[in-house]
Amino acid sequence: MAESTREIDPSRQENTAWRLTFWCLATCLTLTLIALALAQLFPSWLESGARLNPAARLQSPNRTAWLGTDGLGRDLCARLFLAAPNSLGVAVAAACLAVIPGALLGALAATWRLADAPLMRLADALLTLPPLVLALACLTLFGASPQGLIFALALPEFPRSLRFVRVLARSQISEPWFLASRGLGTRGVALFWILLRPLAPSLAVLFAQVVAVALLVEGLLGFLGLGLPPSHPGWGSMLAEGRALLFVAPQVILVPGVCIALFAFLVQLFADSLNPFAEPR
Amino acid sequence: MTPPTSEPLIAARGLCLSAGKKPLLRELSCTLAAGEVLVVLGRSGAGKSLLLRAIAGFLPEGVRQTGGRVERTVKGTGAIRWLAQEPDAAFSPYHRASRQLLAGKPQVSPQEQATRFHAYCQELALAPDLAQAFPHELSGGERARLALAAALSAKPQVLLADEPSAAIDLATVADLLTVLRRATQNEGLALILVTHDFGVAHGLSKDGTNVRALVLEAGSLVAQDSLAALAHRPQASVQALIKATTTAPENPRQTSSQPTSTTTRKTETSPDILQASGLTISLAPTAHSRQAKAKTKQLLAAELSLQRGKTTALIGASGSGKSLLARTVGGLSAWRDSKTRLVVQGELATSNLRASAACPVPRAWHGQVQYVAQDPWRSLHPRRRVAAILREGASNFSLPKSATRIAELLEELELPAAYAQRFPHQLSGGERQRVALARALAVSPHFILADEITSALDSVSAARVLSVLARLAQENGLGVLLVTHDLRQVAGRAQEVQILEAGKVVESGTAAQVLQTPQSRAGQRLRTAAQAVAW
Repeated sequence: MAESTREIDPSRQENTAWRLTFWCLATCLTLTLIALALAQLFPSWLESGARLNPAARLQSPNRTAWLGTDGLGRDLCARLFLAAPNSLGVAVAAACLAVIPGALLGALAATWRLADAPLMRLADALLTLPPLVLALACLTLFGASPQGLIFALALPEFPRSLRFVRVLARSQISEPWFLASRGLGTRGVALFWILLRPLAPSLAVLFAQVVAVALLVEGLLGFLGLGLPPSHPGWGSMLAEGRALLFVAPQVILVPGVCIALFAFLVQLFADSLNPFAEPR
Repeated sequence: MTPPTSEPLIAARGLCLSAGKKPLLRELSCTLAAGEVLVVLGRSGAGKSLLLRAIAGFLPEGVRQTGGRVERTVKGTGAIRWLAQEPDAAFSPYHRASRQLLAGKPQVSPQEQATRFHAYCQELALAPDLAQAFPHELSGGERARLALAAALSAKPQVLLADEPSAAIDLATVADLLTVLRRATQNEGLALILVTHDFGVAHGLSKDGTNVRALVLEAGSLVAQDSLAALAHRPQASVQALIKATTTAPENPRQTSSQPTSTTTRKTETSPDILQASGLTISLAPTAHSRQAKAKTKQLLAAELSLQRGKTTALIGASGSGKSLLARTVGGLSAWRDSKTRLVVQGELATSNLRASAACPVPRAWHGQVQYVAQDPWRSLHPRRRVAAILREGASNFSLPKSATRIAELLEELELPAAYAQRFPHQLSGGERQRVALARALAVSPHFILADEITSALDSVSAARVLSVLARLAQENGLGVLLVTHDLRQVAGRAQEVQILEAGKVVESGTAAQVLQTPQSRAGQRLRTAAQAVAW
C-alpha cells in the first residue's frame, strides 16, 4: 500500500536558492585555494613579496607589480600570496582549537552531570574577559609567534562554542530518538557519537563562523602591531605596515584590508549556505 | 431543527490547489448550508486540512489556488470560526485563555456571548472560571473543551473544525461531538469537520443528525454522500477507512499463549513473566524552587505484570500516567534532566533478571524489554538510514546484524527491503512506526511496551501497525503492553486490561470482564466514550 504523506514544504524554493549559493561559494573558495597552491609553484615570484627593493617603493599598480608595491618596494600581490597561507592557516588552526574541544566538552557537559557545572563556570570565567584583552594576555604569555597567535584567537572563541554545543546537545537529549537509543542499550562513547552526529551541520556552520571571526581579529591584532612576526608575514601585519602610508599610498593598506574583509565575508556566507543541509528534507 | 435552507453558506466549485507544480487538490466541489454537517474523511496527506484552509481563506505559504473558486455568502466578520487541530495551537502561552478565546467579533452581543459561554461550559462539564487560567495550567482536554465553548459562544454561522479529535482522549471527543450535534440541530450551525476516524464521523450522526461525508484520497474526491450511504460504497479507500475503525480484528487469537512458530532464541530459561512491583514515581522540589509549599508530589504508584504470549492493555485518559509507567518499566525513567527531579523507586524483574527501576537499569534489561515510543516522527534518528537504525540494537547485544537480517526484519514488518537505504524523513508515519517496531524486534526482546504507538497515525495506518504488532507478538511469543486511551483498539487484541487513573491502577482483570462491565468510574467513562464513537 502506498502511504503518501509527504508534507508540503514551502521552504523548499528557498532551500534551492541557498543550495545554489552554497555551490557558488564552494567553487569560489576552492578556486582561491587552487590559486594559492599554484602560487607556490613560482617561488621566485613569491619571493619578490619579501625582497626589499627601495628603488621600486610605493609604485602604483603596473605591469610588473600588479597591485603596486609597499614602502620597502615589495610586490604587494606576491606578498598577499606569500602571507595567505600564514593568515588562513592561523585562522583555521584557531577554529580547530576552539571548536573541536568546545564540541567534545560541550557534549560532555550536556550528558555528564558532574562535568556540567565546572565546565560551565570555566566558560563563564572566560566570557567575563573582553576577547581582545584575553588575546593580548595570550600574546604576552606566548610571544608573537604563530602558536601564540593561534592560541590568542582560539581562547575567546572556545567558551562560545562550548556553550553553543552544550545547548544543542541538551535539546537533542530530550528528543525521543535519543531515548530510543538508550532503550536499545547503547551506552557510553557510542551514545556520545549518536548525540554529536546530528549536530555535524551546525558544527560546520560554527566552524566557518569562527574562521571568519579569527581572520578579522587577526587583522585587528596585526593592525595593532601584535600580529605575526615579520618573518611570517600575515594579512594583519601587512595592514600594520600600511598604516603610516594611508594617505601617501592607500593601496598598501587597502589590498590586505579588502582581502581580509572579502574572505571573512565569503566564509561567513558559506557558513550560512550550509544551513539547508542541517535539516534533512 | 432548522431545515437546511436551499442557499448554501459556503460553496467550493471546481477548487484546485497546488504547491509549485505539484497538484494538492483536484477539481473539488462541495456546498454547505445552515444546519448541515459535512465531514471530510481521508488519510494523512489526502488534502483534508488544505480544503478547510481554502474555505477559511488562509492557505499555507507556498500553496496557490490554481482553479475554481470558493463562494462565501455568510455575512459579517465573525461568522466563520476555526477550531484548531492541536488544542495547544489555539492558545498563546502568555495570555489568559479567556482573553484569547473570546477575542474576535461575535455575532451576538457581548452579554449574550458571556451567557452562552457559561452555558456551553456547563454542557461540557467545565468550570467557567477555568477561562481565567493560563493555557499551561489547563490539560489538553480542558483546552479543547474551552476552545469549542468559546467558538460556539460567538454564535458563528459556520464552524470549521480541523481534526479536533486528533490530540485528545476519547472521553473529550465524545463530549465535543455531543455539543456539536446539538449546536447544528438547535442553532442551525453549519459544520465542517475534518477527521481520519470513521467512528468520529459516525458519532456526529447520532440522534438523527444528517451528516454528509466527503472522502478524499491524494487530493481527489473519492465519494460524496450521506454517511449512512457511504458505508456501502465499494471504493477501496472508503472501505479501508471504515475497516480501520471497526473494533475486532479478523482473527481473534485464542491460542496465543502457545506461540506457533519456533524461534531459535527461545530456551528453557526464557523469562515468562515481567513484574514491576512497588513502582512509585514522585516529583521532588528542585533546589531552586521558590514555592513555600514545595512538597514531593507523587505522580505514579502502580504495579504491573506482563506475561509472554499475552497482550495486556493499559488504558487511561490523558495525564493518567500511562506513558510514565511504560517508560519506567522500559528502564527509561528521567535521565540527566535537572529541571524535573523525578524520584523513581521500585523493582523490575523478569524470571532471570532483577533491576531497580531507578535509572540506569542494566543493559541486559533492554535486551529483554523494549519500549516503542508514541511519536514516530521524532523517535527515529533523523540522520541515520533505516539499516543503521535497525543495526544499533543488534550490535549492542551481539546479535546478527547482516544485511539479510535487516531485510528479514523489514519483511516481517511488511516493509520493502529497499527501505533499508532510506532516511526516516523519506517514510510515511505508518512506515516509520513499523521501522520503530522493527528496531525493537532487532534485539529479540521478550516484552514490547507499545506506548500509544498509533496516536500520531491516521486510522488506516494505525490499524495496520496494530495488526502487524499482533501478528509478531503471536509468532515470537512476545508479551505486549498496549498503552492506549482508545478502548476500540483493545477489544479483541488484549487478554488482560488495566485501567489507570491519576497514577493509580483503579481496575484490572481480563479483557472481557473489564470491557463489558467496568466497575470503576474511569472504566465506565472510557466505555461510554468508546461507544460514542463506535462504528
